[in-house]
Amino acid sequence: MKLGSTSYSRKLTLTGVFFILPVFLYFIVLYWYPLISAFVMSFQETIPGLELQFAGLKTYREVLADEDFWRSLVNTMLFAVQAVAADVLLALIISIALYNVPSASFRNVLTLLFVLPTLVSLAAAGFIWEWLFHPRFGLANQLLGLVGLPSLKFLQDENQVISSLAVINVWVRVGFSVLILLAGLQSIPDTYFDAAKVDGAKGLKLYWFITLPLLLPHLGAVLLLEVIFAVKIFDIVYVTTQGGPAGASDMLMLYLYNNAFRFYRIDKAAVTAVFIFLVLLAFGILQRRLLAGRRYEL
Amino acid sequence: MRQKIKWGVVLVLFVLAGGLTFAGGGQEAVAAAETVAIDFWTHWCSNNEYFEPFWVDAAVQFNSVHPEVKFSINLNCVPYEGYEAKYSSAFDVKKGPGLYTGMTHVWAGQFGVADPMPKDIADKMDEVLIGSAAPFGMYNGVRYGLPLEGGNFMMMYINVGLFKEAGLDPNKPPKTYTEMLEYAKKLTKYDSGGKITQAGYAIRYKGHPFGIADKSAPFYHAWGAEWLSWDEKKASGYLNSPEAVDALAYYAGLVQTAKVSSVDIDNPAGLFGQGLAGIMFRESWYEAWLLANAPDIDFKIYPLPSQKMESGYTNNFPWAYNVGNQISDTDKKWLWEMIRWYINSQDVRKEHYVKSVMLPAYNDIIDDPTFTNMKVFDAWKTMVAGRAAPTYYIPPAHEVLTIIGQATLDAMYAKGTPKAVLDKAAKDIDVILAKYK
Repeated sequence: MKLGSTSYSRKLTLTGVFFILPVFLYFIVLYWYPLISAFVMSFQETIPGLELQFAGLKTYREVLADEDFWRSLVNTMLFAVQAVAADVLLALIISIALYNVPSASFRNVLTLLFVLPTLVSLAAAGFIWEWLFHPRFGLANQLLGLVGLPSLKFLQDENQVISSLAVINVWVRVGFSVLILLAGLQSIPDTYFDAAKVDGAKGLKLYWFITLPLLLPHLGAVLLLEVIFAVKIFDIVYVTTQGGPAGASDMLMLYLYNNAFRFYRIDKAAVTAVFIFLVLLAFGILQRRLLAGRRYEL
Repeated sequence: MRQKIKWGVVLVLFVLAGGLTFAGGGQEAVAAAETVAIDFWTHWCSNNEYFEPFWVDAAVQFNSVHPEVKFSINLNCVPYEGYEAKYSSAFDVKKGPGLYTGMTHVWAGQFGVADPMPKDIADKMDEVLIGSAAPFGMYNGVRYGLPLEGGNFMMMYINVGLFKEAGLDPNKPPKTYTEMLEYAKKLTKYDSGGKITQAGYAIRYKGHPFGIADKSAPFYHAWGAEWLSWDEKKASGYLNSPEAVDALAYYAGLVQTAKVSSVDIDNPAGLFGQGLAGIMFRESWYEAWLLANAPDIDFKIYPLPSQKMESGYTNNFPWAYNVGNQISDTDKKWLWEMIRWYINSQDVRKEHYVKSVMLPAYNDIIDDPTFTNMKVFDAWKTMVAGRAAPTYYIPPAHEVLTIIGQATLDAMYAKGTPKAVLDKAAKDIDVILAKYK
């Protein structure tokens, strides 16, 4: 068979298709089929007897008129803002600090310590922090007491619960963000810093004019991943607060779960799923547009 | 000729092979018993160590009576949190269990995945069931499941030690909710910052709103309120009646004004078990749990207080053993046969409840000293002789009670007045109930 012949290129094509077929099937079965099903179900309504019938936009109107939906949306946004901001900022500080550790092996050990919580399941993290945050027995309040600060109610206070959940989320996620940002920092050639120093740049100016712009793609990736993770938060909330106290930590995914499995309102759950998908899609497109063309080549 | 011999040998070998197969298989078919393995799903394992595993042993006993079947039960302990998702996912793909613990009005009424009980078993159940347990396992007048326990309604648990410490007589429990409030004020302790460190009344504030609604129900009923009318398919006029508003004002007041209940320290079961609550309401199963997990707590159990009327006996979690209708006809036949054997055997049922130290749902074994000597017995007997409070065993119960629970929480956390939160809840429930007209 000659290189460049039609049958050879057909064979190459077929080989390629077979290689990607498993992943393609995986995406069809686990992503596209559920996604399309959710869209279809969102235009239906559950009727007694658990049947689904076409209802047009009726279920959308019902969900949009549901105060619980708006409360869970607001709570989710508040949580996402706090969790993502804290995670990205903390990850940036930690990765810069790690980057400046002279010994590579010591740096690796420290990096591992930050990454370890990422390996803990979210449910386990929830159980751990529920005890750490216990108003009477928790370590958190004991530490606060040691430094003379008043004790807090954390997960059991309406005004503190979302911030407390954000702390748990950061504990679980920061290691992953550190890995990405540290890799980004290590990929910046030293020549840029040398050239900047020759021009008189030092200290914070180096970070602001050299490090951050060159780290932008990695920061963008971390931001996108953390926003997706935060908007989809479920495990930690389910295990710790179940949406309480008094609905103060009701999140979109918990609203979806309750409708799907407690009330068997598959229609409302499908509308919520579509809503989450569209919000995250919009965010991803916006983020890509804002960062497009912002790859700095100095 | 050679061809003919060859084909002749092949034919003979074929006939021999076929004969051997059928002969061997036939003998095998005559000797083999039917094999029936039933998957039993339950979320009650954590409530009692012996109650659910009993069914595995019961299957072994049943086998000895019915050697023509190899019957077994595979126990699957499902965590209570999220059990609805596991059940509904399995039923959705037609792979539901053969036997499962659940609320019949949901799984039969809403999901349609429970098998109706054969008439002879249902008739026997009517004969032997204690009155308070009779509605459990039923939907729309049809019996599907076996009730789990006879004391599945709330009663009043008091901490004897804390009562004495507060100068109260543990043998004289509060008879009315007004009295209970006075007792609770004496039982409550505060730290220097005014936070409750020992609750007079342990109030449910954590967990799913469905559970919050359930624990507040006796208060509504004692004030003469009902949550809804299923016949009329409406909650307005019932849930937001003046009686309901007064009941919720009292209940929320335990936290907000009287400050004898805390939404900080812990949920009732844990709090009472730690000796940090003077009074709490719970079902009869909690006695065995306390004895196993908090043996140092000296407690007594009394009937619930009254107010305008008796609180009455009722619950919103009428647990029953249901037979799934997605298993094969053979499996269903033998499972009902096993249940028939269980119901008709007083000794087996007595063994079940004696070993578990659980109050039985059956009147023909209730007089056993194991049960009459239980702390809960007298309170139970008094309450079942009294008022049967309203029940809400309707298909959309989860959704409806979640709304009521959320309204109760809103009042407890002062996010709205009792009237305002109940008006809103009633309106939301009317919309749900209208779908069932």
